[in-house]
Amino acid sequence: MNPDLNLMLVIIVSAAVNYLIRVVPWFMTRWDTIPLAVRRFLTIMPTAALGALIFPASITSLVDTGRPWAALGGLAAAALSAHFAKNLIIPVASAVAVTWGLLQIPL
Amino acid sequence: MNRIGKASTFGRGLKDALPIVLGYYSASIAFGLLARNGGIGIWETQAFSLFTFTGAAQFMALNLIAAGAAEGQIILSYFLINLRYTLMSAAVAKKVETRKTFQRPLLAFGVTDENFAVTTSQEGQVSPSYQAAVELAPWAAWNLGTLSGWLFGSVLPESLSAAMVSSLYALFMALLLPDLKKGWPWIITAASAAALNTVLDLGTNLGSGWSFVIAMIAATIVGMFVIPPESSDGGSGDSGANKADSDTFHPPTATPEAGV
Repeated sequence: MNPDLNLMLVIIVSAAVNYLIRVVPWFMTRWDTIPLAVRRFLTIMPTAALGALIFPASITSLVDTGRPWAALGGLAAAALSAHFAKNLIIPVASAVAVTWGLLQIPL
Repeated sequence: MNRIGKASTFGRGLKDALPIVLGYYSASIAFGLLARNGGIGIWETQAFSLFTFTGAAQFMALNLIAAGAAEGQIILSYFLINLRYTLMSAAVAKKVETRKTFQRPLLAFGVTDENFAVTTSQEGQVSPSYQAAVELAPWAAWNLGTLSGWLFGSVLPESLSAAMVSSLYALFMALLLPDLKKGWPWIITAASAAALNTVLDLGTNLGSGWSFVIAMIAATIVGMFVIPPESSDGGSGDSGANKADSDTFHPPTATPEAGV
């Protein structure tokens, strides 16, 4: 089958745009010369990013299943096991198990 | 002086990437399947995953193609949805101890929400080989999932694949928990980001890209007000005087706060 050249072009331009977004910060000025406020911003930002990454996407990703609230069970399981586990795989595995279990409950 | 913490080897990176691999594989099966259902060929579908490697924007592109959107609109959407990577990439670049210039353009390619979260949660600096592993393994999983989704469709029952995709949010939660334990200022920062993103994403027409960027920036600024400087200045604050000041590894010393 012949690839759709027009679509391929869109993909390549999108990829270039996407790469530029990611690569530019790697060539910014040395970090020790940037203002303290900017460094504070970048240190605090991951915490804010995580909050915004979890909500609302965790809930909306389960809308198709009819039980979006199951996400809250999974998140609670992840937080609880992350409190005790030192690694990441146990929280993730327990969240998958709890979410799956909640999705089995008949509506 | 070695400023790299435990996140120093490729193997360690693979271990930390395992939860991402699990989530990406499941999510990308859905991408491959949806692309095929949308009439997109295997080469184009795979090219999306190989070259753009970006979850939300790829799904958005499928919707736009299905809706018959113009080429420029698809490219613009990619830009808007992925604008956040500029900030995430900056935080990762600050964290990776690159000694050779050629490492930077390579490591810049695979920065995603998930490996950004993993890398920035490490103590101290991370090595380039660690960073390579947390980018490469998820990229491989994303592409393998895309291929198997296009070829074989969803092999998992719907509830199981939905649960598997939720592993990405579980990963975020597991990475967020140590921050939350640092106290109320950090909880307020994360919670305001979550609340604002929810309101903007579901309650306005901004679209998920802008909503996320605005929520993340606004909540970070909230954090800069509520979090005491000594726990978040990313170093001693002695601007430009000493290379070792640029990381978060050394216990920061109390300094007068500048610019906040």
